[in-house]
Amino acid sequence: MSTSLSDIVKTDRARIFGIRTDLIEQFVDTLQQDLKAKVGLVIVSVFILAAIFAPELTPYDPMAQEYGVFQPPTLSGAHPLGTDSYGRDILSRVMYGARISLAVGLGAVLFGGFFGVLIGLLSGYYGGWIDDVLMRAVDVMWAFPWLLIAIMLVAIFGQGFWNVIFAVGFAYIDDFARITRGEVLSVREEEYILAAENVGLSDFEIIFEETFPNTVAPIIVQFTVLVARAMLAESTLSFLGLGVKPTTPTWGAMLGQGRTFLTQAPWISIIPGILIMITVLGINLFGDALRDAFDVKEGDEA
Amino acid sequence: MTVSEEVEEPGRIPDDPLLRAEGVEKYFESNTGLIDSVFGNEEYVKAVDGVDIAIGQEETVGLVGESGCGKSTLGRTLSRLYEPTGGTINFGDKDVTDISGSELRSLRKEVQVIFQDPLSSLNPRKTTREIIGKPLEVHDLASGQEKRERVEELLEEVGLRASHADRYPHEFSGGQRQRIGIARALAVEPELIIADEPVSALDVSVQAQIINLMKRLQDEYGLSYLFIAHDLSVVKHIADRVAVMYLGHIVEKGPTSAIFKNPQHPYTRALLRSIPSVEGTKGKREVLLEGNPPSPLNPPSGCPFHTRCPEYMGEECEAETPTLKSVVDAPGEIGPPDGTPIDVTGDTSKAEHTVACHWLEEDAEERRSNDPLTGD
Amino acid sequence: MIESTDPLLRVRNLRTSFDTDRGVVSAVDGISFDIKPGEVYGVVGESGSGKSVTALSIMGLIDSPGVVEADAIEFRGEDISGYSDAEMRDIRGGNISMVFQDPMNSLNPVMTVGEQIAEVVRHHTPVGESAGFWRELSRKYVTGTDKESDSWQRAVELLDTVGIPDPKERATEYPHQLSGGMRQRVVIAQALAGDPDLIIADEPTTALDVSVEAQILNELLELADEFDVSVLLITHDLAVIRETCDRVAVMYAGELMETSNVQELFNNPQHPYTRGLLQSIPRITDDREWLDVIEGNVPDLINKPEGCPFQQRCNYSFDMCDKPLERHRVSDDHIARCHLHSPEVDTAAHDFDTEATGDRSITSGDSGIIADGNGGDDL
Repeated sequence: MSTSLSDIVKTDRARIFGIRTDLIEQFVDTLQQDLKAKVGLVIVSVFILAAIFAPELTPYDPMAQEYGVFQPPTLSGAHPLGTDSYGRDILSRVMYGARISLAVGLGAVLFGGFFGVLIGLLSGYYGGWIDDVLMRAVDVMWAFPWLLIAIMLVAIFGQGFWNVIFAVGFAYIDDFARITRGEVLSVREEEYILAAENVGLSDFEIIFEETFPNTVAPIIVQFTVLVARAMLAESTLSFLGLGVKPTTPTWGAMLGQGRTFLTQAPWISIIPGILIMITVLGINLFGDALRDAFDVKEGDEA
Repeated sequence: MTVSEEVEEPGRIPDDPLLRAEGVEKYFESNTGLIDSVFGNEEYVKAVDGVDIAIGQEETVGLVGESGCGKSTLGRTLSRLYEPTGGTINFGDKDVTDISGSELRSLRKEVQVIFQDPLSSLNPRKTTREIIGKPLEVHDLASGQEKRERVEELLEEVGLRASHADRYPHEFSGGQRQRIGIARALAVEPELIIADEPVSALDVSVQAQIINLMKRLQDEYGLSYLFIAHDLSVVKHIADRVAVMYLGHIVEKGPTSAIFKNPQHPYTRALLRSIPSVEGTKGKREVLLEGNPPSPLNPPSGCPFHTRCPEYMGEECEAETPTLKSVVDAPGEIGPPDGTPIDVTGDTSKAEHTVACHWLEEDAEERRSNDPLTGD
Repeated sequence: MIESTDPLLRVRNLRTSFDTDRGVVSAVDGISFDIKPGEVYGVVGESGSGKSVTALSIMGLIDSPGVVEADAIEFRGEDISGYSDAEMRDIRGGNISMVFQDPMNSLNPVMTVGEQIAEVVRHHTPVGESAGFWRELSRKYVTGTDKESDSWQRAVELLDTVGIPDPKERATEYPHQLSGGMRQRVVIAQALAGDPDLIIADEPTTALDVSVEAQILNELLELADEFDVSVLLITHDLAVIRETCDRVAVMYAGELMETSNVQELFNNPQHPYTRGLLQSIPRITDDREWLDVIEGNVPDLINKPEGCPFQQRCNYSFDMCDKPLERHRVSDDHIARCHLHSPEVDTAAHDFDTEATGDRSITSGDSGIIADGNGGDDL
């Protein structure tokens, strides 16, 4: 019983003391306090910077096959991360790979997010048969393993950057739709929605001006989490040879190509593998921190 | 007991009411599955079940009842935030029962709602200026600089400062938030404001501020109010007429003085008795209303109140739903609970006092002997 | 063994503050009071007055960034202000239990009500059943409490005591299956389960309808009597105080303004704030056209004015009001913290009628002032 009591005090405190809790303040606060968040932020920033400035930073052309094959990583040598089976510089390749991973990750999630949030908003706000139809459609999407859909889509439309984004993003529509719908259902119960109706706003205005801004917090959190997942998905597709063009350096493709030489030159696979792991971890840590920051309901009673 | 008095008298049902609702019903479908609805087995919560109510120009009608009695639903149905399941609602000389689209939008300019929870009814991500400015924009009343000025004017009108315009709702205290809610309702200069428990969430000293504010605005703008509350003493201070609601029905209505000085329905009488007071000698309240109101999903047969009635008289109460009948010449009329006889001869308002109770047709003496309230 | 006249709970100079971004919020600012055994003690105040924080501070439930300081918080003669977490756990739910406004907060939605009460029984009373962590865990998720066990029997008994019909049946139900009033009864049963000496009830009936409120309050008083429990009743509602409490403290902006026995507070309120509060209450027996109001809002607890926290809203304020307040004894059992009662101040010169009774102040208060207060004076 004592534990439940302290829980009450936690939830009640902001209300009792009218302590102002802004979303941004909370986030900055969490960032300051939370080591987890800091680590996440550092990893994500390094990753993004490396991707953006890859052309400037890379010591070699990632496609050039001229540096002697199977050179092991030597931190002091000319190729700090070694070279692969074609004699290409792995450091340069992983930095260019970061670009693809980032683009696919963001692109897929934006695609899924746009349609998912739209479905969630309409479905949650109108309810009734609209909700039934939209959500059953989403259920159907959810029932298919995403990889199967992705393989199908790539098989139909062929390989390529946009097709990968589409294939991966398609699978996230249902995540966003569900989260948004749940959030809309609770926001809809708030009296300010009724108050907006009372003022004379149209449905469109109520959905996009009043409801949507109050549902973004969990959507943003979901966004970061799914960016990590989309990057993994891209790697998986590339590993299976269904990703972006085979010659393009992507982490998944590098991992896949390296597996034949796992015994002679394990670094070819291990290095992109470790990078995928670290980046996904970083984004997840960052997402967790965001979740914590948005978790507390803001500005309660004075 | 002449009814045809010429003078406008507080408590008279207006001849030409601003809002007149007849037989209003609002049912909510309870959570039945797809299968049930296919087979027509839906269950309905009868939140409002056949209510007649009229609100006159510059009149305040108080609507009281316990939580779950349907008073908020009635308020929202009358303002057409909810679609009525049955009955008719007339505003002015226009039938607004089924209007939609632009017609509904123009009704919003005439009828506004003030909500109970001032925090929940203000969008946390909008500034006061946006909140109060929105109705001006929607109804093309003001824009640009004019809108800015109007918003600041409204803020000052409700006792806030113009400098508050750029703050967010969570930066205000409860009473101040409710003032913002009032300013928003006032922005379109409506004729009728439906106030849904506007002071229930506030501290006592702030309650008094808000009630006085609403009264002042009524005088200034010639507003009509439907004032919904669970607290009879609050209603007494603001209402001209009062309707008491129980389980979706109005069980008693009449001029405020009649309801408070000469309550006739057992529910009203018990409710009045259960109000805690800060006066007189200390003592425990008698518990006259045992248990909770029954579920509106499965309302009792006959009189909705018979399951908790301290004056339950038998089969008749369960068999037949009593209708609202005038107290005038009712044999069962009983004096006020404290036994003091009140002089109602010549009180025209008495004709407007109607009660839905079978006791009204019985003998007053018999009722008195059966009544747990008149005893002490 | 303590003398029966010794206070059960003795609080001296309790101060609770919260360090926020905007500054230090003094939620409770140096309050002292005693609760005698068997007494029902009321603390009344508006929201933000610090009445709930007082209760939480006593219970050791204020976590960082809150800081609780006190010269003494003595429970049965023992200072509990320095108790460790584990020691406080024994006190909470055992010697002192709490009832909150929203019963759903104090009830676990996925446990049957009987289970929840039985758990408290096992933790705080000698029923000879293990309340070890693993044992409780397996009870909670696997076996459930044995229906023949003493703790379950006690839970059913308690449900019966608090006036729940068919307690055997109800004990196996979940909180959502009960009505609001029934849930609050369950919470009271749970509060009684640890055999406490003191129950702190924080707005226990605020969420309920008047008719149900009357039932619950009556029940609470009868039980306090039957179980010989003292009650600290926290509420915003003076009427509830009047019909339940023996003594009462009026709290404003973290400070006690007036303490008295109940009868005297209502018949002869001596602090301008108490009078203002009493007059602003709408009541069914008066015909005032305009209600009297206390102008303005509660002061900001970060930059509280020097001296009396009520001075800016007070009709009687004079040059002494910014001096530190002292306790002035009005009568045997009646203390007001207001400079008007200072011996060197001529009360009559300030138009403050010290003899005013509650009733008289109401009628005289009907001066027809059209005041709805200014809502924008603080912040």
